[in-house]
Amino acid sequence: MSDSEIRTAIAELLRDAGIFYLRDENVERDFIDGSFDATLDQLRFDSLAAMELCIALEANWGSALVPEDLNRIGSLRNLVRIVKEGAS
Amino acid sequence: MIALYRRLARGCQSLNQLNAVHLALEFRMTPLDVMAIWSGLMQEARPTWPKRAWRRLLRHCARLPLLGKAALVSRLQAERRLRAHANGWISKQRQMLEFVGDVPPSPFVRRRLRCAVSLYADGASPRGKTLLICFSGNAYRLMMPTPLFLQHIDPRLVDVAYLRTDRHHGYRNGIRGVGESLESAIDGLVHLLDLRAYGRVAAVGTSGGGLPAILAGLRLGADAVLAAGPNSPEDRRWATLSNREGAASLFRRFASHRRRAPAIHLVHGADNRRDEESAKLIASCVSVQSITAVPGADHGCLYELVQRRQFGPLLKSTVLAQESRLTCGS
Repeated sequence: MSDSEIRTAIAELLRDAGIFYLRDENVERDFIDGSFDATLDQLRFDSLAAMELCIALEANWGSALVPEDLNRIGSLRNLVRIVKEGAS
Repeated sequence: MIALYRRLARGCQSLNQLNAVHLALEFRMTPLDVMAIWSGLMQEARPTWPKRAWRRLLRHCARLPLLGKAALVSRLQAERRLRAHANGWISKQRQMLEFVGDVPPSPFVRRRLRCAVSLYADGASPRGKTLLICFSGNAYRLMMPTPLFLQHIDPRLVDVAYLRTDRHHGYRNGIRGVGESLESAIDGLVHLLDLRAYGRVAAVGTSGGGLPAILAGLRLGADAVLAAGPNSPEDRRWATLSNREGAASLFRRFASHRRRAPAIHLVHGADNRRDEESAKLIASCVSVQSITAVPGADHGCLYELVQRRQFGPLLKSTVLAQESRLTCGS
């Protein structure tokens, strides 16, 4: 699975989890092509969104991330890397 | 309820799967359901002897130097972790109910009317009562778990209709099982919820449900509407319904059949610029009774109010106000 496929799927999962940071189409496009990164603090995750994202990551890629792990992951770039490692 | 919970939880092998079960329950349960699950989990009966013997055997096997015992040990640890997580979750749900006030759990009973419509009521006649029609947002909730929302409401005076929509469709394609457009769905609610039997009708909408709640309030001629963090009516997703003529056209379209205008109250988190702008835009198109910015709150502003014990008073001063509705035109 390519970086951009994973990024596209993550952008969709973030929308599902109610994270509106990437709602702006330009920001989302920059994120998908890899030129934009954001810390997870910037995305303003609440506990519900964190849970929903982790549930979706597990359902899609079998990722074992739980909400507590998101704090140490730090940024979207790291999240993409971890998902890619788990998927490969 | 506890049997249902046990059946659902039994199939969970990871924390995320258990969280998915918990989230699904959080937008269905009543306060009494929370107490039933809490009692069931916290006051679990002593296991029967075959179960005790089986557990002892497993623990014994885990200590033996057997090949492949790592899997057994990790399974036992995972089971223990999931059990602790479930106990923590239900304890938190109960604490939240207790936080609302020193009152017993509201005796609401849930009745599923359609796939996306549930009615929470105490079973008494609706005559003289208020019907609160709640449009949940994208996360299927009213910025808080449903039991917590219901605990703020007296079932002797108010019935609660809970609506949800498919993700990202935001009621624009109607409500499943009621109508295939927003207008037909709102009209369908009149019969489905027997609106005419109630003394008062009010609407609450959160996030993606905020704007539909206002539009439904206008079309139904509701007494009051409370919209928390509503979407902008200028959002391109609403362009079709406004005939691409802007926000004012959208409100005009839904207000055209109204018998009376509702008292509209808007709430948004003071830290969320997008929601603040949406509220201002709505207020520029339709007559609004109040706009409340919740200091230090982001999009999920109602939950912040719960934590400050201000959500109950907000409901009582807006959608559950018993005094006569103030007239306001658009």
